[in-house]
Amino acid sequence: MSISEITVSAAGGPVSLCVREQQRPQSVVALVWRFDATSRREGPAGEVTCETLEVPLGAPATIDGKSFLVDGFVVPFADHPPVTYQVVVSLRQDGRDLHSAVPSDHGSGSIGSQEVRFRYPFRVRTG
Amino acid sequence: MDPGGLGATLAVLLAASLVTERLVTMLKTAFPRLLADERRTGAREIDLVADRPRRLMVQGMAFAAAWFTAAILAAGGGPLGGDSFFASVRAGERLIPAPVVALLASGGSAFWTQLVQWAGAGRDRAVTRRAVEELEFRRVAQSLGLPPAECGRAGRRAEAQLADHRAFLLQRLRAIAPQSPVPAAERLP
Repeated sequence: MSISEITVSAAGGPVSLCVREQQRPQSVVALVWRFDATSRREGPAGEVTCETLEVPLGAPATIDGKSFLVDGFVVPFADHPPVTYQVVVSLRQDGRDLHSAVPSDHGSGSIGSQEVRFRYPFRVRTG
Repeated sequence: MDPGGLGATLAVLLAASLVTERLVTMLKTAFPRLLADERRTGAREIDLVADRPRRLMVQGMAFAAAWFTAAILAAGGGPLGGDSFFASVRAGERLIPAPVVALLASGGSAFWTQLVQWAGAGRDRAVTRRAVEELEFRRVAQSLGLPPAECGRAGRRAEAQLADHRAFLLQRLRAIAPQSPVPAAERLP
């Protein structure tokens, strides 16, 4: 699994993270972990639930050089036959999407009665 | 006092009161500006002084209607004459003068009005409750990605199970606490 590098504007507003499944937004739960510049875990940055799809990460200056890991599950709806799903992780600043990606680690596929775990690591740089 | 006789008296008075109420309502409908429109102040509150003539008129008409009803009851099915208005109404074992019946029955107008308002409020509550249940029903259906016809009790149960499952998965994630942003394959607890 490789880590994505995302550049945010140093002069812009706070950065937030949005995680949703395209067809059923309420079917994703995730934890966002924050790591320092040396990849040491600092703690959870926030949780993604069906009520909270967007997690604030912080001001550009405070997250410059930090890494994040989105670790979540796609919740099954007991579909039979299995249906396709696609998780989209977006980084937002000043009300617009800076970066959107489908995690390579089980970010898309088919889901039936078992939950599917997905993960998406990224590092933030200011520019 | 004989309870049976009291029941008959109350029945006569209630019946007369109901008839009176209906007669007054008909008159208010026929002459709304004169009898139904309450006089209000600039602050939209009832002006008791300015509204006094109208109230007296309505109460007078209620008494007249009740007296007319009492006279019919006193006539006992016979022809209605002038003396019927001062005859007595049989209420069980009692004989009550028609003017007294009129006085007692006309005072029940406010009671019936209140009763109708309560019934209306109860009906409005039932309508609101049904509307709220309908909206909740559709919300559950939408959250499950199902048409409303396929939901109902099963849908509500499925929604609760889904919420439990989400909470359980979130708990598992909290317990993992990865050591690096690019974790190796880890065994879930």
